[in-house]
Amino acid sequence: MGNSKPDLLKGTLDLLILKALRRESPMHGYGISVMIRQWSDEVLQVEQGSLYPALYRLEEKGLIDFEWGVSENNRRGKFYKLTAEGESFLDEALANWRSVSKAINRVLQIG
Amino acid sequence: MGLWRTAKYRIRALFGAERLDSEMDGEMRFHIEMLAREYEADGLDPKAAKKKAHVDFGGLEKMKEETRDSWGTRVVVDLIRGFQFGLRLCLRYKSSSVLSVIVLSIGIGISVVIYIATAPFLEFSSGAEFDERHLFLEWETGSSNRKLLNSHDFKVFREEVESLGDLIGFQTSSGWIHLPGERDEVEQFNGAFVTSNFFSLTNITPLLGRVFLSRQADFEKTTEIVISDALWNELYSRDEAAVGSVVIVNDQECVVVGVMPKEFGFPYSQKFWIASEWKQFDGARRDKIPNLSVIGKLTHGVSIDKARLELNTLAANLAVSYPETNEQLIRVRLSLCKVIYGNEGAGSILVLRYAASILVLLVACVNVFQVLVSRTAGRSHELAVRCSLGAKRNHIMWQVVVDGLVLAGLGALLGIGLAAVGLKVISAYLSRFTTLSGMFDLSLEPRVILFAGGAAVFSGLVASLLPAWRASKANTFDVLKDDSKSSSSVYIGRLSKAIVISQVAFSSLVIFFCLSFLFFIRAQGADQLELPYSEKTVLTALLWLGADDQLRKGDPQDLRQFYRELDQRLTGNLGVYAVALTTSDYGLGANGGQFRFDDIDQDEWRDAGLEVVTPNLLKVYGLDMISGEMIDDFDTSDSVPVCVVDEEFVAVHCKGVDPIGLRVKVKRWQKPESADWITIVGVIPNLKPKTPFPSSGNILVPYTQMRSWQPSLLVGAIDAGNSELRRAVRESLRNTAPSVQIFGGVQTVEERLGVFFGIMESSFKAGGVFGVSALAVSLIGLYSIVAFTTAQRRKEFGIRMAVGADKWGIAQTILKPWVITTALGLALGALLIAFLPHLLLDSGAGGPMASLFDESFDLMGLVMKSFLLTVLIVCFANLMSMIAPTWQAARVNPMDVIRDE
Repeated sequence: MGNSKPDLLKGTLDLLILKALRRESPMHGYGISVMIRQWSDEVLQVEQGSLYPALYRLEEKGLIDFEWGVSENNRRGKFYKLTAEGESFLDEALANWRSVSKAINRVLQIG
Repeated sequence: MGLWRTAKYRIRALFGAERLDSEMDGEMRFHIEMLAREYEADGLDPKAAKKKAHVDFGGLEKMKEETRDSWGTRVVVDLIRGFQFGLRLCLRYKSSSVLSVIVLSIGIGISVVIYIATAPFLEFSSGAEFDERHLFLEWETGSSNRKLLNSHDFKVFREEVESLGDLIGFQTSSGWIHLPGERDEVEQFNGAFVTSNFFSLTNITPLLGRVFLSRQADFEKTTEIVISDALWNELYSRDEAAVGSVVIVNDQECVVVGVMPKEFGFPYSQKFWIASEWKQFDGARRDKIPNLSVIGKLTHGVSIDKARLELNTLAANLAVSYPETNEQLIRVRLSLCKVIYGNEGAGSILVLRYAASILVLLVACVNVFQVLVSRTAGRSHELAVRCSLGAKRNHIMWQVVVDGLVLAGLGALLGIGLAAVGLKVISAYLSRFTTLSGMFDLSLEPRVILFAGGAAVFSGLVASLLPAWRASKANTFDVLKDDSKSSSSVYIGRLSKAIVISQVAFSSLVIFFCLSFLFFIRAQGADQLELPYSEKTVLTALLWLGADDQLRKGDPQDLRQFYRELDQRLTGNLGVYAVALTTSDYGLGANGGQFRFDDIDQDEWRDAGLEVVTPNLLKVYGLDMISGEMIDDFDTSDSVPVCVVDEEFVAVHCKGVDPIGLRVKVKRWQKPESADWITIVGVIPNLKPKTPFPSSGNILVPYTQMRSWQPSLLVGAIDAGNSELRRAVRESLRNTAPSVQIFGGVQTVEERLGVFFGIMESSFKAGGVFGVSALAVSLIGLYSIVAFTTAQRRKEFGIRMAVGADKWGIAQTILKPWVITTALGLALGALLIAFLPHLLLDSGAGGPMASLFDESFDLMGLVMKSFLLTVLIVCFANLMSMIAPTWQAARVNPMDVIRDE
């Protein structure tokens, strides 16, 4: 997330988290940050100070849910998953993102 | 749904914060551990991997704080923590906290009492709802005097008028009411006879039953009555079976059809309303029928001028048809009901209420301000450390403000308790002589709690904002560099000293007036009033004859008949030897008036009391004439006007001249002078108690020769306090003229004087409490500031004593500046005290008060005595408040102080 502006960061991070949870669910916070990092070829580094507030925010909105589980190293942790509401929200958000980014690209390519 | 989910999470975050915190801690530690494993897999050793994981994750506590911020409960949590901190501060500084809470509770308690005591006057509402179209009808008299329409004229207007809707008529009256078979339990209540459409004046619906239906034959068979909530409680203990039951009013059976809630009492706190068409007066002489208050509502589209024109036309027709009664009544006056029945004084009372409350609170706040200044200065080192750790300015200010708010909150809780006690005391005193005591019931309604809460917030903020601002402005570096236990970190500014000076001046003023009042009462011999007769042998009752429609008309024959019948019923029974009426309140008060002589200084109007009396007045008191003759039954409105005067009158106005045979003209306040010259036929003894106020004597005229609506009934009896006699007086009045109202009960002169002294005593006690409170509040402030400054200079005193200073030297060092400050306060108080009496007593310059006092009364002596005693009390009290901290400082052990860093 490097030098991205904060107001863009918040909404984008939510989208990335939801996408990661669609791909693999349930998953803990660390796993989400690793997945985002790997998918972006190490470009996007999710800061912990942003990740957990974002997870709480998404949980409050009802887009994700959690359960307590045990990791592969026998450690108890919170595992998040997408809810049905989260699924439909993600679909809508992705459609919006594609449309907006397409428009931005078109503008940037001019001249 | 989204809102509900958010609310659920916020509540969970607020009340389950500990569990959430624990979960968050576990989750983040899990993340760090996973990160460390990743680094281990990359080749780092476990210890280095763990350290790098911690570093890369960031500060755990910082991450937790940022996550907590996202919970949306930061403000509430900080608020709660702030108040917990405030409570801990109170426990840390116990003595100053206790003093502040006491001062604030006194201030807030007095404010709550003021709020409750003014509420009945502000919230009085008859329950009727008027707009700009509701008009009050009466005859135009050319002056502010009121002349109501009689019931015949009302009916004519009601039938004929088109510009006003269905007219409403009502006649206030009192009624002796009891349930069937309970005649002994009869009580008098205020009520009204009303037309059946009367209750269209309000939207308030009955608690039970109904109001009157439209004019139908039904109510000709039975008399319907609607009663108030208070009467329902009194007679039926709120039994719902009241509706449909019978109640006896002035020996007439009435059927209860409804009960109105306490919000309705139109026009003036009436307790019952009886449906009436005044049919019993059909065919009666027009000058012998009741007068009604009449209200009409302008029809839509009709102007007030058009309505007036129509009514005047109808009036002119009535003048032609009934010239003997209506010849002069040709114009109708229309007034807005909103003005007639509005609460005009409400605005002033509201201003007074809040001004008095704010003043009282400010006095309390000033003391708490001193305490908070001291406490905050003592915490300057702590606050500087907070600042250096990153606390922002508003956080530092909040730390001080919350201290003030917590103190004020505790003060409010205690203050409500004090208010409850205070109001009970006030009610108990007032119940001795008035029914007003019921007004002062403290119930913890939301508005009382809201007011007390508002007072607490106001006090807390006012007392703490300035110390908070000063604390936030302090230079952190300077404070931390400075040894906080030395005096150099302390700053008690000119503001604090100015506050001490003004407090001393204010308390001096209050004590001076309290003492003056006390000495004045004692000088008046208020507890030893001498009367020329025995107070136990005269029973009194204040009557309102105007409530009786017949007596209101002022026909001397009716008044004579009323008095004779009363006299016949009472004299000879239960030891009664005489009955009289007088316009002097209970025979004790004086009615203001003026007179002029026929032969001596004809144009000079002089002051004298003017009373209207019946012939048996002296018999009631068991006294004889000094000279001449007493007025008697032969002195009527048709005979030569006569009067008698008392000894005081002769001494003041007839020096050396025999008054008998002299002629006077008299006039009462705002009334024209008597038409005829009145001849003085006798001199009676003084009947009034002696007071320090100058008296001009009294002129007494026969009741048949001058109209009066509010006489006092005097009954002379061997044992006037007998309860049987009291009942007999009430019964006689009820049987003679049931509509005549009795105010203030039936009591002996001894009991009336007891009430008067009770008022004086209560006033003195209230003044004393106020004076002591003002002094105590002032002393608390002084004590706080002296104690703090002394504590801060402890090390300095230790060093001084180590190098040879003695205890007295230390004491002088402490006391000198504060004695000077207190002396300045006393000087300011003395100036105010000297200025006010001079202004009031200088009769040459037109000062109002001097002329009120008799020449023989030593007013200046009283003032000097009060002033000297005030100075002594204030000096002594202030010195005492400084003694304790000075004593402690003078006993300090130099070795302990020097060793202690």
